[in-house]
Amino acid sequence: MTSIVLYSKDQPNPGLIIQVVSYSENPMEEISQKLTAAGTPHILYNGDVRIASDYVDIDLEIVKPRPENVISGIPDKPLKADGVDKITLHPSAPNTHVQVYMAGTLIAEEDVGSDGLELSTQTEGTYVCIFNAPFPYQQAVVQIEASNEA
Amino acid sequence: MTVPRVLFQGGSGTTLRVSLPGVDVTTADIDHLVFNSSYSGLSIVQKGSVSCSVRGSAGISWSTPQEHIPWVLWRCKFSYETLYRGPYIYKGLNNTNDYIMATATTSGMSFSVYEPGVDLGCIIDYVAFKATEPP
Repeated sequence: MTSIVLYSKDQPNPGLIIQVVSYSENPMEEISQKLTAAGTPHILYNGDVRIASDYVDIDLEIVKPRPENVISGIPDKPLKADGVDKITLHPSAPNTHVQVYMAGTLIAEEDVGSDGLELSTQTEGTYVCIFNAPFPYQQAVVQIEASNEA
Repeated sequence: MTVPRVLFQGGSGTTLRVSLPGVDVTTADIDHLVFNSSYSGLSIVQKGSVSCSVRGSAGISWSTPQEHIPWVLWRCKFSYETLYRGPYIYKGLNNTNDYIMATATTSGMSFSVYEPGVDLGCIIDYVAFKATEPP
């Protein structure tokens, strides 16, 4: 299946996929010609494209999977919300920036080095930790539950 | 007993219907039809995915301008969520709520998403179907 993959050439995310057209009532080649005339960066690609987890290798003009940022140290039980119990999450990718959300609100963020992200709390709830490493690494999302019952 | 399973009718009530085996097509309801020309008009204009920044918007264009505003089925997934929201079905101007909006025209469609307190983007999957009449 041929898709049209529109991507960004701009820093800081060259190759970031902006849009995928996987079917059109008109021939893909015809659409590609219009995009070329408009100066819109794109490629015609045969195969499945996952907009969030793939990127375009601009030099080779092919779609590649974005490497995963694997997070280790994820507990298999809730964190005890006593301010003492502590976990440390380690991303595999370098230069990772972490944002921590609770109920949709950003409550903390920091650049994580080799020490990883330490998390302890006195407040029960679900903490969503979002790890962003330099492109083309994928975004990693970890949910941590904190409970007095843990 | 043999029953008629194919109905091809002209005139003002033009229709083509095919019923399930053993069911009389002239009396079959919709649950007992395998084909009904009255419901076969949806053809796909375009389908795909687009990324949208929260507090921003994303636009797509139909490959050719449409005579009528297409029907659009779409869903979205925020970066911090594992499940999609939706699907949403629109014909023309419409909103689902204050924060997830879409506007379709004969030339394309724009999406805008706002999640309070969240600056993360989302992914939108869509399918646009050809409309045969104005909204």
